[in-house]
Amino acid sequence: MATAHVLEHTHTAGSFLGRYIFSQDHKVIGIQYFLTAMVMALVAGFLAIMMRLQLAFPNETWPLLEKLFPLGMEGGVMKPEFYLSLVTMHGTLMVFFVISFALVSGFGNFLIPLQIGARDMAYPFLNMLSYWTIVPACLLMIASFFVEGGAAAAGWTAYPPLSAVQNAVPGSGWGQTLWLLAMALFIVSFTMGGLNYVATILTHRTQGMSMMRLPLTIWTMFIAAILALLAFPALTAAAIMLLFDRHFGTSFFLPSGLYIGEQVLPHQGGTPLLWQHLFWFLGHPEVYVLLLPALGLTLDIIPAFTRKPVFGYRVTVTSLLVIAVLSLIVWGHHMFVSGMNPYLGEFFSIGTLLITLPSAAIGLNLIASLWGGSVRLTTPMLFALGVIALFGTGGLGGIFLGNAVSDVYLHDSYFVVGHFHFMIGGVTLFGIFAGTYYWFPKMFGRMMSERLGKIHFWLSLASFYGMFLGMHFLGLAGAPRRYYSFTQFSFLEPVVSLQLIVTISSFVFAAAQVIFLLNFFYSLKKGSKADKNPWNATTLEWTADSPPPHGNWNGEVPRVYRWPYEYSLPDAPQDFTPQTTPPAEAKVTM
Amino acid sequence: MNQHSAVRRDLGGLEFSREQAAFRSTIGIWMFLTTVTMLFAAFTSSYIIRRASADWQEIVPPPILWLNTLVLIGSSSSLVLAQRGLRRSHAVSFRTYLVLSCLLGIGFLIGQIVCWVQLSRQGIFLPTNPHSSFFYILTGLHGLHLLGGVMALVYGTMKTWSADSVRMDHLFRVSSIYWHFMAGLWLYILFVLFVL
Amino acid sequence: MEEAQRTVGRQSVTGMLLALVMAAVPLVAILYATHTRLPFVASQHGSGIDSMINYTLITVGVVFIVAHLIFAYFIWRFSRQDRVTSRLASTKAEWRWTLIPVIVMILIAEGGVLVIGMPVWRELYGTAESDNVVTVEVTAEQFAWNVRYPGKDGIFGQTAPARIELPVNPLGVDPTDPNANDDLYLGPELKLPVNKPARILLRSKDVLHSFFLPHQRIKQDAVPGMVIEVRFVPTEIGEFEIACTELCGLGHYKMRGVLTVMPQEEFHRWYTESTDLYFPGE
Ligand code: HEM
Ligand SMILES: [Cu+2]
Ligand SMILES: [Cu+2]
Repeated sequence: MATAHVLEHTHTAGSFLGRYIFSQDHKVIGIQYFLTAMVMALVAGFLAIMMRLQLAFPNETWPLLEKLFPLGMEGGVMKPEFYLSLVTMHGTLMVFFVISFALVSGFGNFLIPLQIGARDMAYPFLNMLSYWTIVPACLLMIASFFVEGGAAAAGWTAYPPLSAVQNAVPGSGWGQTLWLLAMALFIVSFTMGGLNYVATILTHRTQGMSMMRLPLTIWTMFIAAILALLAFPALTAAAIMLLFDRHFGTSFFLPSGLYIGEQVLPHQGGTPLLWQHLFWFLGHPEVYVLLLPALGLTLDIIPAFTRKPVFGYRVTVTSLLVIAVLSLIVWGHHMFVSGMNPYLGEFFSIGTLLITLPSAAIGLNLIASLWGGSVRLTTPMLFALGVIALFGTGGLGGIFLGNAVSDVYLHDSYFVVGHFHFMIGGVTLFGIFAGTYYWFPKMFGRMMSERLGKIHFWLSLASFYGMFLGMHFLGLAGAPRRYYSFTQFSFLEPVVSLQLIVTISSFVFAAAQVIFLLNFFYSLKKGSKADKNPWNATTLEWTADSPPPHGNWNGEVPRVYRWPYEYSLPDAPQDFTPQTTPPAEAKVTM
Repeated sequence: MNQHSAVRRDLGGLEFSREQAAFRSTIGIWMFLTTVTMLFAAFTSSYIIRRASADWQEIVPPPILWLNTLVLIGSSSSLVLAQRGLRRSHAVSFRTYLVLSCLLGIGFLIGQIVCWVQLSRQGIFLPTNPHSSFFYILTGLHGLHLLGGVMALVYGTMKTWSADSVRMDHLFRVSSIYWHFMAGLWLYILFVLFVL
Repeated sequence: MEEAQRTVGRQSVTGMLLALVMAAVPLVAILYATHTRLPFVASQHGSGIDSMINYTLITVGVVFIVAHLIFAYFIWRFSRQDRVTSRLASTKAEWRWTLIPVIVMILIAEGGVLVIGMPVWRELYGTAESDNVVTVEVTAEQFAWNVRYPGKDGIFGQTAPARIELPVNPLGVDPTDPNANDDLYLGPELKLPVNKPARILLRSKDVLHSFFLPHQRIKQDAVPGMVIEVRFVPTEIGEFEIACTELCGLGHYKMRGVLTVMPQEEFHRWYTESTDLYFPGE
């Protein structure tokens, strides 16, 4: 077994194709995911900007956009159904094809073997397969904009009957089918990835790397992978049944007597609520699959720039585990007003609010990690601090929504949109940026520009609040989500004027991301050379070359003697003591 | 250049003990079976919810289904015997039972197709009623999973004549865990469809 | 050394700036809050929902402000020192500190829902039967609301989707059913008497919709295949809007209805003398 493993490696490492395209090296695969996420982020971000244009200027015409989307923007005017395709595809792409890719698949693949002291993932071939499965998925998603009827338009949640009946909305034709197929490919790929993560973390840790010496990044990736493996099958089952309802005449989600398109449909006896249960059984854990790794990266970046250990490592690990377990039994908080049994509503409400306890504990640990430290405000640290701030606001917003009573008013309003953008949009994006500035030298052997990085940070932070803090208040005023315009109701009049602030902020945010892209590609070529350990950090990846060679370490895999947060150890020769420093040279904390 | 040779020396040397590699494949297969379990759990809860509707009608499965069940149990038992042969380093009985197990597995799949054909001859199709929809989907999904298992077993059987024994051991252990699980899953599906 | 001092100096400016921004976030929120507010409340349980929201706004608001101030202080304070002054707390101390957020959240989140929330939830969904209710059927469709009253006999005529015929029979009511003769039909206009419990039977012809009365703090999905009962007591006279808050297709954003709450006698008069019959021909 072992010999075969080596041979595969040395074989493929040779040619260009084997090295960069069909590579089985976890670092290359991680970077492939990362770059794919970047491309998909451009698409999904562009869709968001188009939505914002429509919401702030509902009566304008956009002849230029007509060239790109001749059907959806006929005469330069956005059609309502096209707006719905934009919402749906923006949400789907951002959640699954941007944040999941960059954070979980990108950083996960890149960092797991490096941080636990392994040569590669447990199943390198499966890893490559997992990447190449999502390539057609991305293409299908993008292609769906150009098929008849346009892209899927039933929201990223794809609730039937809207998503099940072809003529319920134009996007429910081919667009929805392609959406389902692409999601199926995504799930297959994510499952392969999850298996790899769990097996690698459990079996490939180097000597001395006990579970309680794992960096928190690894802990969060581990928990995220397990959650994904447990939760995604529910969506697989739901997607299979939806495809059968759509194309083969079954009635899982479609009740009797639907009257759509001036005719009664032949379906019988199905229950639309079943889809919602299955979808959210995945959907809620999925937000933790995205959120937790962002917190993990942040918790690993902070100590490098406070020069002290994180506060409450054990408490954090415990809280992460509690959150993971609870996240599997609270999906009903998305269904308080769905027609579900109201007693279940009480149960889900109490359960959901329980999650605030471990979440608040992590919040405290994040802030307390600054206490007594020597805070260095580099770009990665600024973004990490941004994560803390956004996590706080997003989490507090959740208290309104987890409470069934206030959710009666706030459900499906812009308050929800504001809340989840803070959590799965903000915490995750800022986490990705912090991680990129921090690990870029390890990935590419060069530093990113600090000056551009800081501009990127300040613009992103300010415009982020401009966009999404504002949306909370639109929601309090009653604005429903997924609305093509807010001009039809007089109770929404106060909302119309706020839209402009949000839209301008979104332009600023987009501009800031252009700076990031420039920085990224400029630094790739021209950044100053990075040495092995530019941040004087303690974790294992910093003992490898920048970038690490195939197999990660020349010579033997390092052995670990201590936990990953050994900063400012009294009597140690430096203010950081790498995990590889033997006890003889410096005292061991944990 | 030297880099790669360094890796090779290293990996070939201290990286993996046999136990570690075995541990890795065991973890992998059980994690995968966990997701399979969750998939069928999702279908089970959907089944229970859907059954509460007024239009529910039970279908009567063609008798060949029970024959298929026996075939699959036979295949699983035969694999146990092959395992025993392997443990006793009894090459002939190992191979014979292994081949028998593969054949019975393929037999089951063919039997399932016959079962579907018979059912559709009775006029019971996928959309006929919710019970038939679940019947086709659950047995179809199980069949797909089993097909993967058959391919692994056949591949493993062919390898018994060539690959080294350590590698063989792994492949065999992992695919037999999977195979027994599939047999168990089959009984579970029958339980859900016709007893529950 | 000098180099180190310069970096500390430079970054204490950044630290100061970030601390100021963080301290300003609650101010921005308060600024927004003074410009938007909930539509005024016009139902009995609505004031319960508002107390729930207000309790959360105030308690969460306090946490929001305090946490931002602490965070800002930490950033400002610790970006000015180039030496670590406190390295590691004991495990016990870490767990003890954890108690603070846990207790705060128990009080705010769980306490809120258990003490203030549950009674409102019961009021909204409890099965308190009373004879003195006005029963209305509201059927959602792409993209309109259909309001039907049972008429003087108090019984709705039976419906079946197969009998739907536009525009004469949009709900598929059985014309041979004697109970249908006095059914009233108002299209997208809902009329209710003030201070009297309303019982709304919510249905959908096609896809999911959600029946949203912003002023009455009512939001309930309409699910095809289900009849969902919504109960509330309107407390203000006037004209209000009905909106849809579950994505239902391209007209979702303009699925407008009107709720008119009238004095009880006026409603009674209209109800008994109305000529808005479902089958006006008969
Ligand atoms: C460039 C920054 C972004 C802007 C301007 C933006 C804007 C928007 C807007 C306007 C909507 C539609 C609201 C509605 O009509 O209901 C929306 C929905 C959504 N966004 Fe974003 N967004 C951004 C980034 C993100 C990110 C990073 C995520 C990551 C997860 C994300 C996830 C979602 C989701 C899940 C939806 C819901 C889609 C649905 O309702 O089906 N967004 N966003
Ligand atoms: Cu959730
Ligand atoms: Cu709607």
